[in-house]
Amino acid sequence: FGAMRIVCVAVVGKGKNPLFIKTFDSQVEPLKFHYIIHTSLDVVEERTNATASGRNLYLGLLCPTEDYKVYGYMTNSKSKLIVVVDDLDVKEHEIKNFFKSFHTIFSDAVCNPFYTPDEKISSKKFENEVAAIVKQKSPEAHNDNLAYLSENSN
Amino acid sequence: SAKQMSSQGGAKDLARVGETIFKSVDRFNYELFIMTYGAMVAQLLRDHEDVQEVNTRLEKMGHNIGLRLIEEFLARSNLNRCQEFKDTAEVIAKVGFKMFLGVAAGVTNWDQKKEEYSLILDENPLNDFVELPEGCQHLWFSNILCGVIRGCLEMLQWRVECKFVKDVLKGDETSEIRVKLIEIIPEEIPVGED
Repeated sequence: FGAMRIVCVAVVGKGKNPLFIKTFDSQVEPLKFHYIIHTSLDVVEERTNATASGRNLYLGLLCPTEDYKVYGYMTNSKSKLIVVVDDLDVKEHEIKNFFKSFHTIFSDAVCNPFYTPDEKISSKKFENEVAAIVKQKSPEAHNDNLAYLSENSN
Repeated sequence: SAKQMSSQGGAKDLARVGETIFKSVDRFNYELFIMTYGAMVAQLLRDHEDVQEVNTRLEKMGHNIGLRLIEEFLARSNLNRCQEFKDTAEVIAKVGFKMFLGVAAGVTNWDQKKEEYSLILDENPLNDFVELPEGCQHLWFSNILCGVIRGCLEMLQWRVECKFVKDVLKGDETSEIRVKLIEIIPEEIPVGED
């Protein structure tokens, strides 16, 4: 056990413009995550203004909220990847690995000649690939309904 | 050597030829190549409202490439000239596609007279990263390939019609190009001879 539960992932553009947000917890109002992400962007700004050179792409824990932990990652082109996790016991290396995969998928989507950078990502393929890596890292996130069904059938 | 093998050699022999040449050629960054192609298609779409116009332009570009590329192909592959049109299929699929795109194609769907066949592309590197935008259902993204085939065959005295009939970018399982022989182009008789 101990798999983390990813409840939301987001891509934010060079400013604070959200390019993509996907939530994985149907019981929570999506707007709540939008707000959490927006708040975390202030922290990203602080952190990335501070250090001049040699900045890591991985920014670490941005802001713990009551229920969640928010992690950030900023590419050198200032695109930001945000992950919201619902877990007390999060293994940092797992988050880092997740961001690596997330970054790769994002970069593939940007290479689509029909996608304009810093605009909203509407690619179904991107959405599916993101959902796949989330499922890989946090199988619990997708089993809400399934767990309910199997409990009732026992 | 390749010359010792007749160009009517089986698909396996030709596949080996294609593989060998592919490995021997200097590589450059293939991502740059496919992104250049994608950028060109995207630009054409911005320049021309009509998707059919873009298809036509891509094919024309390909045709210009094919007229020239055939020399490169013949020089590198060192294969004997195809005696009959039907022999061109596997040569294009196993040697041509492998050499220039890095992935060999399959040949199927022959008509009775052996004047029409399909090239099946299970993989098409030009498609990497690509997702067609809305309103582009009639775009054949890799249509340049049809032009290249047409141009190459024209230099060998075969006039063909070459077009996509299936494309994975449109949701089809594979990409398929249909090659159809229209006529054998008569060699020009030089002025002064009858």
